[in-house]
Amino acid sequence: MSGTTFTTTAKAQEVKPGQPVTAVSITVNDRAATREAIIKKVRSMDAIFVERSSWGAVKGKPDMVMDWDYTMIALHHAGRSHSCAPGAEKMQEVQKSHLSQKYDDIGYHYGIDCTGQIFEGRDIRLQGSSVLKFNTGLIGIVLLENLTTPDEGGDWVAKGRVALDSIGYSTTSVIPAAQVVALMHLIKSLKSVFVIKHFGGHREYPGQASEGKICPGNIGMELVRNLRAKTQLLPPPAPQE
Amino acid sequence: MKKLLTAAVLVVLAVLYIGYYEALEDGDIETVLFIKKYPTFQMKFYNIHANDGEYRKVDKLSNELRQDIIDYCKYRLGIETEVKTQSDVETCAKM
Repeated sequence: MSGTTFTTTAKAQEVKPGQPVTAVSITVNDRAATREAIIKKVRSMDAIFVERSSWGAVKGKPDMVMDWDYTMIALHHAGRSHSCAPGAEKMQEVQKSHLSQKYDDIGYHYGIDCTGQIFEGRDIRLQGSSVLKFNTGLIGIVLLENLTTPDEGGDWVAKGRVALDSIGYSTTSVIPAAQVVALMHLIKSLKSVFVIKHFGGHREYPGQASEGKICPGNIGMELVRNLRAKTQLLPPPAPQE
Repeated sequence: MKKLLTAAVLVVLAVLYIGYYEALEDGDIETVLFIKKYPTFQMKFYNIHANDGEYRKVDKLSNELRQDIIDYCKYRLGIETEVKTQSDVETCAKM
């Protein structure tokens, strides 16, 4: 929220004649209120929103970098080793792996599981760690499964999946409708409090493809293109010279 | 006996000269092996920038993270530094 007017409540105090009036201090935490507003907006659309404390998140490290005035959203998939599972477990798994890589906390701001439950990741007041050297002003959302096609990655995992595919064992996911609806609700909520201009897959952001990033996979990218058309959001900005 | 001794020497050499770190690639953790620039019995290293985050600010590094950078930079990249400037941090972030 970038407006300068706020509504708040303060406890009334009795003023007795002859006694000095004690000043009532009011702390206005605009950013905390915005975090709450996002959660309320999501819930008002009948989506299930699970706060950090409810999925067993480990507390992040102190003194993390703050961020605000978000203009971009990056969509991620959880990775090729992941598949649909209860969201709380997936979030814990992702947070554990991120902390093992010396992150200060889970890198994504939000996660959405295959049933469409939305999980709060890194606090929205803090800068995310989801797009290599391009996290300022960017909100990271992860869909908690694998959204690559078998050939993606070009390594032994890809070769194995192509071989499995050729004998009729499909390893390609279809994004559940409930998850897509939840993502749209979350984007709508974020647009209600931030001036979001860009929406893209992780690999579309500047400097990512050249680093070999394939996230969010071909299936994820198809969703990104569809949602861009529906939300009128722009692709990620071009790299700066 | 000779074979056993040779094998033992090879194992010690491998421990001394082969190191690894884990990198977060597209959501998955991958192990990266490398030849150490200097011999040491330490085998596991941390490249704290092998992920999708930003460069760490040098003035906010904990002692633990600073030591991780120093070790990685020396044994993986062959650069000895005390990591006192932001430039040192970024130089040591190379894969």
